[in-house]
Amino acid sequence: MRWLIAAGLLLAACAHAETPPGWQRTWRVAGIDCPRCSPADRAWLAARQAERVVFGRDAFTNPFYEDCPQGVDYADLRPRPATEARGFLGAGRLPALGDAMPLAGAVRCADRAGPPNTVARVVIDGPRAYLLHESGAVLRLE
Amino acid sequence: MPDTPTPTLSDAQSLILREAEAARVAAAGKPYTWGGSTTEGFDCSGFVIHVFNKAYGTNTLARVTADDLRTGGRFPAVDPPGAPGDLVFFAPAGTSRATHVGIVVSATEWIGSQSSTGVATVKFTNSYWQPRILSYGRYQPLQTARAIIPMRAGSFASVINRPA
Repeated sequence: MRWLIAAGLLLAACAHAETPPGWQRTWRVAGIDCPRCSPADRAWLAARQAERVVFGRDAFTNPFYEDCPQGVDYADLRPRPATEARGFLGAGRLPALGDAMPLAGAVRCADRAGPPNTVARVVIDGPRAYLLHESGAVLRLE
Repeated sequence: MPDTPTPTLSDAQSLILREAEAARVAAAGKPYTWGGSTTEGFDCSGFVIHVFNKAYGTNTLARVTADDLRTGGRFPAVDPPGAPGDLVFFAPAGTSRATHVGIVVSATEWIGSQSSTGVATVKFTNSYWQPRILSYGRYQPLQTARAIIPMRAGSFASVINRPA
């Protein structure tokens, strides 16, 4: 009986460990903020607005920039004070954040020799995420 | 799948790429910084200048913009797709003034400091950057640069010895 309970607990623990966090999912682009973009850049971004950004467990898909098809590293993505999180988007503007400690940091590809390579800087604020693009553009994901 | 032969790099190319990778590692996690030229934060030309000054000695390159690097005579244009250690310049579509610069790492990647990522390697197939590639340039030491730049009356000093 004791063995059965232990095995059950172990299975439950494994299942829990394999449940991805809520932000590891497919996001749609709900808005683009880029006051400093050229009209051409704005049009380029708008034309891709229907695309999906995928924070997968083993891969990252970002049709606006670059994918990590063979391995992704989210180690830098962790809860940070909102004021610090704002700094992660550099010149990008963020609206008021709902979470005092949003997840913020770099998404890195881990599919090459050597240290992981940054492909995105993001802030995840509950049901919304913000992805920095060039020219200070910020993509709002939902 | 047949193996792709790895090109043999010259000592100069290896040196540039080693310094570029060292700067990438040292600047990991640091955001793009306007005017930045240290591992605490780079802008695009600041990163390139840092790498070449580490490789060839302090003051090899003065602090200038991406377009100054392209037109200043130290990086004469070479045919696409360049070679490891060459600079790759970017401009908005339909324009000819470089607004971004990186260093060619291989046939598939370049490295630079981008405003969205900080220092990072980027694939040549990157959907944002690929259409913006303007030209490539290869570093020429000052003496060589003097010899290869066409002289125009009164323009030599301003081309070669631009103030920072």
